[in-house]
Amino acid sequence: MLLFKLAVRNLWRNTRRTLLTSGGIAFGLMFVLVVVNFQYGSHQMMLRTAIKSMAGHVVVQASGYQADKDAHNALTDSGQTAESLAQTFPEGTVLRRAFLDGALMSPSNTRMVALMGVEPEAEARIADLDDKVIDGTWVDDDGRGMVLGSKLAETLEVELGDRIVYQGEGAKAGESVSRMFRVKGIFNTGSADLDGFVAVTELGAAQELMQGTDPAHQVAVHLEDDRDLEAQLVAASVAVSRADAEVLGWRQAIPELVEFLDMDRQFADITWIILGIMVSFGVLNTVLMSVLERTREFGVMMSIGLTPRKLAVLVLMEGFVLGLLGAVVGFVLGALGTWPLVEYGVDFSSMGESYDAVGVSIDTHIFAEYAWGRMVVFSAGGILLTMFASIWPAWRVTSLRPVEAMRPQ
Amino acid sequence: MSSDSASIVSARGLRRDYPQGTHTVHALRGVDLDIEPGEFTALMGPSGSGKSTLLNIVGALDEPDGGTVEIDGRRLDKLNGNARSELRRDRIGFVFQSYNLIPVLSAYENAEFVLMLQGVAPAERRERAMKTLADVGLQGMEQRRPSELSGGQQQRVAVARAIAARPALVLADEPTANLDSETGAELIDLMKRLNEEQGITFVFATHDPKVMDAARRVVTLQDGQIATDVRK
Repeated sequence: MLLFKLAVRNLWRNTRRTLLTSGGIAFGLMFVLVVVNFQYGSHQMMLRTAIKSMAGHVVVQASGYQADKDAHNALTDSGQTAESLAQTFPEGTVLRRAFLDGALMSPSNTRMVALMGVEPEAEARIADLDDKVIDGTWVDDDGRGMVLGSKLAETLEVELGDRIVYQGEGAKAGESVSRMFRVKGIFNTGSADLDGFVAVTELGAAQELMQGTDPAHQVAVHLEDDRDLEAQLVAASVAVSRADAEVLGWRQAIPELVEFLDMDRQFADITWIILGIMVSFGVLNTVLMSVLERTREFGVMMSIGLTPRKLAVLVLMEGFVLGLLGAVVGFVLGALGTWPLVEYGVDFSSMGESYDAVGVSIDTHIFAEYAWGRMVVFSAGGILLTMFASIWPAWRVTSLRPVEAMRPQ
Repeated sequence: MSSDSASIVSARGLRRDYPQGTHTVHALRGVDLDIEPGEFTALMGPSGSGKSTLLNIVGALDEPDGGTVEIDGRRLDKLNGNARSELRRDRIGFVFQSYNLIPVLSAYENAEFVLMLQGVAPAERRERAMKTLADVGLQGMEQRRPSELSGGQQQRVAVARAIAARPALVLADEPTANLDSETGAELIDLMKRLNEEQGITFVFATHDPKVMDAARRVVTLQDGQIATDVRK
């Protein structure tokens, strides 16, 4: 307590220097926290979009499908599985999807496409693609309808109501299957991948192109609350109870995106650590100056019985108080500075309506979200770096000899 | 001078050399000194005679190049840095020429500082610090910071700080040098009274003839050696 009192009072001996230094820490931290929250917001948007459009919080698929996305490896009797999952998760939404690769042919052109078979109503409730339909309507239970990306429609030179033929690989090697569709709608997401290569039809129509009984490549459960995902995965496994199926959490279902986001975050973290080290050199300068100015005083304290170790603790404590002040102010400023980005976001629509990252198309109007845990970690890191910057000055005072320290400079 | 087991300080053959450029200044050249409990001793001598050097070595602030010092029978050269700090904290009080108070602490907190380092309980600490400040005539000024006190008052706080922890020995290096003669005389009277009433042992390094008059023992140093040692 004595050392803490001394540390606080020593810092206020040079108010301007203390305010400038802790202000530097606070503004540096504020900047970091605002960017961290913005990054967190954009990551959450990407994850939510990916979970909604490509997976679910819980994903059930045929064993081995995750490792090798072979269209032949579909989960049979998917309706029964979906029913079991719906009973286990009455609050959630269960939907099935099929993913096929093939060619789409119009009278004037042919294009390789990713054909997605969906349950129209459930898909519209969860994913946003139906909202992006700019011409015609979303798919319905009419198995002849197909919704195309705008660029794909342009390439194929087709309009609403035009006939198109999908041709893909059949059940046996070398065998092909084909089916005729009519253009029911055209969507435009702004994403080159989605608009140029994706076509959507009703699941039943897609199933006609596949082998097996009631096949689907994915049965996805979308939960209102996935905070207890581990337990929910166990419950899903029990509900499914099939040896030929694998039950995945969203992290395993979209591993490329999760890895990409982890890497993006780690890269940013390295940048923040470098920034923190740069700021800590400023802190080191302040603490060292403050220590050098008080060499005589330290000599006096040692002469009346303060041990070198306690003297070092005093210097470290001054660093701690300086860091604490900067961290608290920086945390508050960071939270306040993030607020407009949470409320109004940043609109990058001049760069396009959406952009693609690891196969996920996200909106260019990005909103920040408070990453409270990371904010606390970064603020604590600020305090630690300040204390780290005080280690050398603290070590210096331990080597002081009272009689030399008290000698007039 | 003979070694006495009851001595607070027993120094033998102290030597201290300071290299200065191409030559060496011999600040102490084999000094023997014993200080008995309750003494009021003045170390006199011209500048450079080795008074402050001797005081610093006896106070475990500096280390000799030769010879030994025992405080309460403990050899200083056998103690590490922390043990020397603890010895100073518990057994030795210091009064410096330029007061050397901790500027961010009040008079009371300065007097209390060593007691806190000693781990004395808060209630006792408060009582002792307040009483000590009253003993040195600073009642009512406890909450003033050093910058709000005169030189004489600051030196009284320094004396209070030195004696609050009930040390065996108080070492005072030129305590009156920065004070006007009247204030200096008051300070000497104060320390004399503390010596007589509380039995506190004082050793001064001083040029001040008033201190010499008050001292019961005057040790004169000349060129790093004891020239005379007179008990009154």
